[in-house]
Amino acid sequence: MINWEFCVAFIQASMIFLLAATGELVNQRSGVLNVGLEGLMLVGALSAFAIAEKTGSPWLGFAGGMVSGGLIGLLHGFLSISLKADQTVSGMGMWILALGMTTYLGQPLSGPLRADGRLETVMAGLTPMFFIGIAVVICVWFGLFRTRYGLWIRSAGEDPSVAVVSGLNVTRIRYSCVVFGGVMGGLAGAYLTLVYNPVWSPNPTMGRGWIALAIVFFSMWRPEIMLLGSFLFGFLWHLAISPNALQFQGLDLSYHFYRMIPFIATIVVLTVISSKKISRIIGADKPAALGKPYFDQE
Amino acid sequence: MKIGSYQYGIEKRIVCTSFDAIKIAALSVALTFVLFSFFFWLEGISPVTGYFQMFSYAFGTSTGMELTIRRMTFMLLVTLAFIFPQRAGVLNIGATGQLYAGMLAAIGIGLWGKSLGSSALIPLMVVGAILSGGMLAIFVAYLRAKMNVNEIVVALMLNSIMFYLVKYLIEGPWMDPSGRPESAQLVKAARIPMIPGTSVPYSIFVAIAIAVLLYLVLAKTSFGYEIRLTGANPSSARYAGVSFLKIALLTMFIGGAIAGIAGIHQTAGIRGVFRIHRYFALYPGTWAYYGIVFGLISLSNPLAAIFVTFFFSGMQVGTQALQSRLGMGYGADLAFVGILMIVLVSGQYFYHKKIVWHKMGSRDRKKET
Amino acid sequence: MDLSKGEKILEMKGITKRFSGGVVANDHVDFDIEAGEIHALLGENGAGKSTLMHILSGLIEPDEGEIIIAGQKARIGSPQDALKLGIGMVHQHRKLIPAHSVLENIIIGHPRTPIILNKRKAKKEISQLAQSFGFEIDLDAKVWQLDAGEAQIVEIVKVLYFGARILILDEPTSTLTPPETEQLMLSLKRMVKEGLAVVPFITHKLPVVLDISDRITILRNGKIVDHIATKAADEKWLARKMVGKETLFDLHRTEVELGKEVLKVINLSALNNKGFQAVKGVSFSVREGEIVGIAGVTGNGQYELAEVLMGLRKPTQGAIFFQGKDIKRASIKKRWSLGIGYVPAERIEVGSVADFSLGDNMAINLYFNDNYCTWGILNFKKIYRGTEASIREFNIKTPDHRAKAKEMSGGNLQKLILARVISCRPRLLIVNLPTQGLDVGAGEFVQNKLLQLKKRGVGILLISEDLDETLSLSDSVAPIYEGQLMGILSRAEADKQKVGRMMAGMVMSSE
Repeated sequence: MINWEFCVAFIQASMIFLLAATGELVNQRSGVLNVGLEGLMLVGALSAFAIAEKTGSPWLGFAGGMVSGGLIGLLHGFLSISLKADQTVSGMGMWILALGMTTYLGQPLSGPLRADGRLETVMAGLTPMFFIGIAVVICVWFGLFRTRYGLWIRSAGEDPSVAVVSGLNVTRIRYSCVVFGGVMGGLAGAYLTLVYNPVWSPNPTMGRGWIALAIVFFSMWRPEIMLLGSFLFGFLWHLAISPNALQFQGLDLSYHFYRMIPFIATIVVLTVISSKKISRIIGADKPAALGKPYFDQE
Repeated sequence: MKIGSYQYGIEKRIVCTSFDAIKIAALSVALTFVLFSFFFWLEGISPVTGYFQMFSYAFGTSTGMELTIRRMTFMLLVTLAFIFPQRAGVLNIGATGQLYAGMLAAIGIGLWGKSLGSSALIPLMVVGAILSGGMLAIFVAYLRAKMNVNEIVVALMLNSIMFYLVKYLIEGPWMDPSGRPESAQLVKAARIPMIPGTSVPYSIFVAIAIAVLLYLVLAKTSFGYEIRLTGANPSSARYAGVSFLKIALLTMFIGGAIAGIAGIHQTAGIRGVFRIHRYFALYPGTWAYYGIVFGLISLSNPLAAIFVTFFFSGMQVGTQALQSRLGMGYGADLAFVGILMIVLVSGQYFYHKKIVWHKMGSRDRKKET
Repeated sequence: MDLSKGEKILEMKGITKRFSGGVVANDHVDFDIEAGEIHALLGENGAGKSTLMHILSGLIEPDEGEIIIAGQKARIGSPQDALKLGIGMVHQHRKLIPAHSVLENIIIGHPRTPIILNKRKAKKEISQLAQSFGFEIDLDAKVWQLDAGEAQIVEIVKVLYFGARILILDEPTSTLTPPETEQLMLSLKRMVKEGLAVVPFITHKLPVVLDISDRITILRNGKIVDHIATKAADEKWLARKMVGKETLFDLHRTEVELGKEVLKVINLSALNNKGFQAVKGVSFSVREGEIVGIAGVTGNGQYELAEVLMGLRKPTQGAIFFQGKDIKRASIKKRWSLGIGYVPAERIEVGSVADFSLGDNMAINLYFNDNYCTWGILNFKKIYRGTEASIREFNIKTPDHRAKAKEMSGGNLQKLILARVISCRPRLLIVNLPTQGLDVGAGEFVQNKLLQLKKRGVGILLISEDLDETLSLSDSVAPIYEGQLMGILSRAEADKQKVGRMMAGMVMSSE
């Protein structure tokens, strides 16, 4: 049955997607692609868990997740912006490294989080993080479209050479965006281990990072659609593990099917917006310089 | 920047020879070994002991060697699956999904053809794996060539979709009769025969043969030339009349087919298992991504890939042995490859730049890469 | 700057800029700009225009000379400096972001933009500014929706919004249709009434120059050749000043009897990469043993024409016949096989592969040739032998076929490409800018090679900016201007002044 408990649960699942996707949206808007989002979330998850376990304070845990995420973001930024490395390979490498390191370092911490390390719910089962998270998304939307920083970010992502000629420092813009993406990814991981499922086991993210990445593409880089997409995919994600919620002639494939839908949907959307005509009608905002390093005149 | 009595700087590199590229790759590998020693330090082991134990197991003992070769077969196949399309400039990130497709073909046909003999069943499985892996790859290639859709994202999505498909099948129709969440075991007829006296399946020869074949195709045939031309300068290729669509579809099909064969190896070739086991997403799932970095280290040369994968498979097998011998936590082998990928990709920076130093006071310049 | 008309806003004295290799791009150039005038700068490609423009807009600094602005010595070290000094540059190729709106493009980087964008205020300011100069722009439209003329207006308004008093326009009419050009002229005239100065840098558009400018300065080979008040100038005088005297090449030209038609083009049209008409209803033919020279400044549709003939670009209308066969739908590979060869202008980007060896570069046209390929296996030994032979025959300076293409000098690379294309034995050869950037020796070699081919009965379509070259080699000369052939002159009729004027858009009344 779909009741309030179910809703709270799927909202929390969605928040994880939303936070990670928001960060990725911003750094993609500036032109940097981070496919290692899954790894970013893993790092945030472990840092937050470890700190909350040691100190008994969830807020310190969140801080830890954000800081470690920011550092990883900085590393990815260094590789992608200054070294101009292939962003796909470096992203993948970071994911694999994060998977290995978190599995290894998290071994001694396996098990549930201590009670005072968890975040208290405040309103009807929702935690303060829910409200903070929504607030962040609104700020990002406002920031991207109503402030001059947003204009700079979008310009750096569309055509860095024009941005430079207009006097912008593309390097600084991209670095700040990729660090922001890191912070948000770490935050999403922290949300996972401090709120959603406060237990440590290897690979707790279970592919959520890939879904968050899919959401950014699915949303065509628009925060409103990203918000909807996160909740839609979160709904599907949670539906998969509570098959009794919606009765469908005892379909065995409900779990796997629901989990598959976000990925199928993303492929469909990508194909549709690749046609120039349609993308102009819908207004797909793909940053033209996404994934391409900027080589300044040397 | 000054260090000691030397002045360092970074300058633009004008010509990057293959020799330079090999130097950079080798240095990246060396740096990775140095960084990975961090893990030994955490455990309180000296890196020398650690590495020695790893290599002596992997290459020195017969069990270790067998494991290494078996692992190398898999690694070589996924590396070739990445290398071949990469020569044409198409990145095949979907090896994981193609691998799963091959595994499904192996199990599916293997279970369905229970009553058939080996000589019929195994070729059928191979054909099935080739087709399923290849078709999956063609889907990505088509979207990329015809509609310019980002092949990396589509491949990643497909990998996840395939993951859930496999999970569904092994927890459903193809589940093991015992009720464990893994696939049923393949009957004897569906298993790849082993080299007598060992646990090494004949697939190793298939893998090496494919590597040699790919090398010859690239070096000697006009098809191989068209691939190299497309990868080196797509505008020239178009000017010369090469069809990008044709090249993208063919190279990806072949890459996907090879990854599918890796799937057969991993299901029908692992003694004692002969099934898709519950942790398939971790191994071989994540392993399939290693093909990318091994392909980069081999500088996309199929022959070099043979040696590169042999070496690094040994490393992995050794690390896993170490994990149990010394009680190291799991995850170290993943971490090694992760470090390798990051170091390697940073090393590519030096294709265009070089470190230059000269002694203060003298005007002699020496170059380092 | 509060100036009255006629007062000097900017002076350049003795500006000199040298580049590596001994090239003197600007040689003691003296140039001044007065308030309220349109002062056109004419010069061919390679005359030093771009260098002068880059100096004015702050991208590079001169080696010698000084710049005086409003009576004070000034240093323009960066584009930001130029803007602060009131110099605004409008580029030939738009420097705008297509996905953003017009408003967003104009305010990017503007020092006065507040943190929280006040779109309404900016809109009001910009609209007022635009209207005061007679510009109509829709600030909410996305730039990709605009056509060339509108996009250019956006760049002009942007520069004005940044406070520019001197507008430097790089080839302002190259992407415009005639009505848009008229529109621009009117706007420019309005702007100078307000005391601004406009300096259009133009290559060959004589009608435009005569129409709107107050003064004309002509640049050739890095030096100012002459300047004149427009009222006193006429086309003949201008053309003569720009192209100079004829120079003779040392060529071995023999007369050949022309054979059958090898190429026939009827009413061919095509679009350029931006979606605008580049080739407009072109018709001509090339016969065996004939060299047809398309004479024109780069950017008038020649590049697109060559691509259409080779199959690299689809025409929007028209017919192409090769040896009598309709090849409009033939693939690129088919056209090579049928006997059409193409030597592109972009030697490095398209014509060769930098990382491949010379031998592997030769294979570009041979990989599907039955003589070199059996059962799918390429006979590289044969290809390399052929490469060595070509290296000797074409006098290419290189140790052997294993050298990489990127190590070749321009001349040697071009010889290699020519050797490769000729080895396919084409019946029709299309060459685009064959001697550009080559030293005299290599250039003459290429030209003599073309004449050799002509003797063998090959039909050649020569696309060149070098009038002397075109006139020395061609049997027929077809000047091209804005995508249209201005006429087809026989060798006897074609003289440098006439062709020069037709290339620049003047229609010949005596036809």
